[in-house]
Amino acid sequence: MSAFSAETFGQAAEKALRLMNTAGAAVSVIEDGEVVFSGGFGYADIDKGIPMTDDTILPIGSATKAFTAMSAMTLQAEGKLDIDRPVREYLPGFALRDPVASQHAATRDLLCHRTGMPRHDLLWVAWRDVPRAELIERRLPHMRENKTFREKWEYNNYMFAAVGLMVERLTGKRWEDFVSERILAPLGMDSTSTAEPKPGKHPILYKFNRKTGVNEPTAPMHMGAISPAGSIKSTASDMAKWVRLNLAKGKAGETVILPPEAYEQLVKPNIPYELLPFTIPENVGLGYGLGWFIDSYRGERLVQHGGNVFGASALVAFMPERNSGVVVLANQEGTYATYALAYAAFDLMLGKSDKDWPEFLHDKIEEQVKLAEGNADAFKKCAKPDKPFTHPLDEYVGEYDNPGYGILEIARDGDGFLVKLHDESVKLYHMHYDVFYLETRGMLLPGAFKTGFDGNIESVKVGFEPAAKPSEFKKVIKT
Amino acid sequence: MPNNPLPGFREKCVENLDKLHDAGMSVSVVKDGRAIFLDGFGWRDVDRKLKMGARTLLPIGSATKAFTATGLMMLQDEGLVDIDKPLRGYLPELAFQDSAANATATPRDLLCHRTGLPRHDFLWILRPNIGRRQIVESIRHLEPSAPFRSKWQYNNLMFASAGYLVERLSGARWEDFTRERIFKPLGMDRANFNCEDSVIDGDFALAYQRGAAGFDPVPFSRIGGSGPAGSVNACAEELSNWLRFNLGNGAFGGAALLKSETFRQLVKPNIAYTMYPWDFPETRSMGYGLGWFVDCYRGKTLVWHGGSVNGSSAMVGFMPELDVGITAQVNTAGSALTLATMYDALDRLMGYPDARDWGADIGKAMEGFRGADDEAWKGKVEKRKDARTTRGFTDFEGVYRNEPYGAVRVQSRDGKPSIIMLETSHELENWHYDVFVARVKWGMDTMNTLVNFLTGQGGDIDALEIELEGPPVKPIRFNKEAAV
Repeated sequence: MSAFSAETFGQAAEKALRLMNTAGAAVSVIEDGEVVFSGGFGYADIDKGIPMTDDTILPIGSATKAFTAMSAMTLQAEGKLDIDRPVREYLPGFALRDPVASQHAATRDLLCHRTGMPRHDLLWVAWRDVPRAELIERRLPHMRENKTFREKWEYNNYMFAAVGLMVERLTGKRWEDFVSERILAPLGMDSTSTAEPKPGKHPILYKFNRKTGVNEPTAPMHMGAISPAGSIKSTASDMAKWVRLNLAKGKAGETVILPPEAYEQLVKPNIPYELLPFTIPENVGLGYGLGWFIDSYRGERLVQHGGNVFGASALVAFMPERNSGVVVLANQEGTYATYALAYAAFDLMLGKSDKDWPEFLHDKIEEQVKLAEGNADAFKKCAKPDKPFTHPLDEYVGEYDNPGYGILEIARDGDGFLVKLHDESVKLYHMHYDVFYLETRGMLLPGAFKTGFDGNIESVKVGFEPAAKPSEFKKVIKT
Repeated sequence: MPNNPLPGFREKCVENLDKLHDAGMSVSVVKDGRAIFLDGFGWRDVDRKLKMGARTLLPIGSATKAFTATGLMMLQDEGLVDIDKPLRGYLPELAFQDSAANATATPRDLLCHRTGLPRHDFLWILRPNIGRRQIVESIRHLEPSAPFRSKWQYNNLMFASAGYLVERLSGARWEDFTRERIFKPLGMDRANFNCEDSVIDGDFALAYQRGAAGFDPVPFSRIGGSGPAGSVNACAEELSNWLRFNLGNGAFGGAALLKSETFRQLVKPNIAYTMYPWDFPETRSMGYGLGWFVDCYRGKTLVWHGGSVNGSSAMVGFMPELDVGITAQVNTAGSALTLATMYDALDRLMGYPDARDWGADIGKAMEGFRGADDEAWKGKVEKRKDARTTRGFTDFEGVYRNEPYGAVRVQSRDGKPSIIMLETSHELENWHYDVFVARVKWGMDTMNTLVNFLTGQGGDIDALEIELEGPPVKPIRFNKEAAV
């Protein structure tokens, strides 16, 4: 007897999309092992009025991580990998700045974000065509940690790319092909791909402009090297198959993709996590498994993972004990409508109706946005007046090198500068003396040039990763 | 004197003392188990015209290191330490930034300068009262400049640590242990670890530097925590016994203080070294032993170590195959005389008298080196024109702190921008932008060093950097304390 009501759910969904400026959302709901809802809300293309559907192809972003974790566990089940042995035994090029982490980090540590390494996402975002091995074996070893090894949960995409690279080294198959052959194909996820999207219904991806109040189309994110952390594109109906595989602990019909005891490792908490900057009283984090967050939602175990890429947000969530799950895929950047829809769907299945999730999440997010805007204003306001650059402007121009991030190029741009990192160029905003900030995708990155003992500009520091110390780029002296 | 074993040596000592403008020198020469030459030259006190003698107490500086190494090897003979086992098992409070060093470094690595750490001497120069344990505990903060065991890099802090290890293993202060276990059996009854004790003794040499009109006395070095790297004071007469002990493979007066095979560890090269910026074909370095340099001098093994502290220089050297040894101590800073005297004596003992005028040649080599060193930073750092700081000096003023170096203060002193380190005020001159030159006086030396003030994201000065060690070690950063 289904408790899920498509009508009530639809009302909540429409409200969530409206309140949270979300173009469209594709949804699958599985109750007691069966798909009880599969459909779309809002638009795949606002201008053309094309509706969102359950076969619209959308990025699932970081919900991809569970596929990578499952790939590693299949190799463990086959005896090709021990996820508790050091990664270096399988991927000798793996190294981290923290020697303890470098030596001891095991696949489990990579899959549960406890190496001490923060995100450093701007590098791979800016560097579209970097090969995976270059990123993992040449660049990651130079990135700055902000925690000691296994001290705290610290979300990191590189580590999943490293596991993807390890899968390739162990099997001779690229992660993209391994996942396609070993998971997507047996499940019949025929509209799902690990790299380029399959032919089919492709939506416009949107980013809401708070200043103009307009939802603007945005280009998809190029995942490339980092794919094992977030490249999968799928549909709500394909993702329902994935959720049912998880509810069946690794079995799809009679096909065993992963033995149940190996499967259980994926959804067992390894380390406490804190993700959202506000609390949701009904939902308590239990810990991070392997590519999955494990929560307790209204007392029920909830295994979930969101995904956020340019122009899209996703949430895959299931309650193993209830044999139920929800998939929400939205063509909207950074929206929490995904959570609102999932919580609303679970409430229906749990017989709860005491919470207006669209309203609650909308208010929480608005608070956070205002706080962030206030912080940004305060940051900009601390600029001291009439404190110009110390050196003639041409002396700042040139290439600066950091072994992790690579070459940062400073070029003149009118009476200011452009800063280029691989494929991304942004304007430099001067604050005072040789201090500046960069603004990219809503983030303010602090920066400063440094004068050496010889009086010449010798380096520039930029806080590409706000959680870690700024990265220093040394000026390249051309001879 | 028909049986003078060193014809011409005394005359050469007098000649070189005069030629190299040193105040006084004390010398011992040992051959075949006995002292064949013990004498002093010049003045131990220039103003009072007190003569330097073979019983005059003088610092031996870093020649102390061999005493520290010898003491530790005695403890190895007793089974209290294996110098090839990781230090962590003996001194958990000693940690290295380099993970390989941290996991693997042994007492041997401390005693042969191959941990990857450069000198970092300013740690104890800026903190003259730093304790031995504090030195050991500070090592974790010091940046290495070479991979572990990849090259020889002289380091006093490692010998302070080795002395601390002696204390931990023996339960006695390093000074007491060394006095009981080495000085006493060798009859070095007047040897001590503190120049004040030499003053109490009475027959001691004042420390000098060359001034415009003669010799200017300089204060004695205060070597406390880092004592095992260089605090011993002794006279030529007593040091001749130390030579006999070393030429006796660790035995003295019929008693073995060390097993002979243990002794041989001390003088066996562990790692290649280069030190002097000159090259004399008579001598080739073989490597660094444990607290000893080991060279091949005119085809024979020469084990030696120099020492240099405020207003004094010393040299201890011996050739095991020839059973000869020499000590030379001078009470003048930066002297070429000790090395010249050692080579000159060895030449006479080996049958090459006056084969080279060592006083003239080493004096010349050292002179060129000294001048280059003093002005080196200026060539590196040309002053940029029209690039004065745009800030008022009050922007820089405040207390800046570093772990483990401690605090420095930047303030105006008598209207002059100054940086106060080591309880001493040093003038700061704006060089360009926010870079200043500090003329830093420490002990009897002066050194120009650059101070770079760094602007934080808020636009205020939030740190300063001083190049205390030099590349590849990053400048030492002192963070500004918030004003109260």
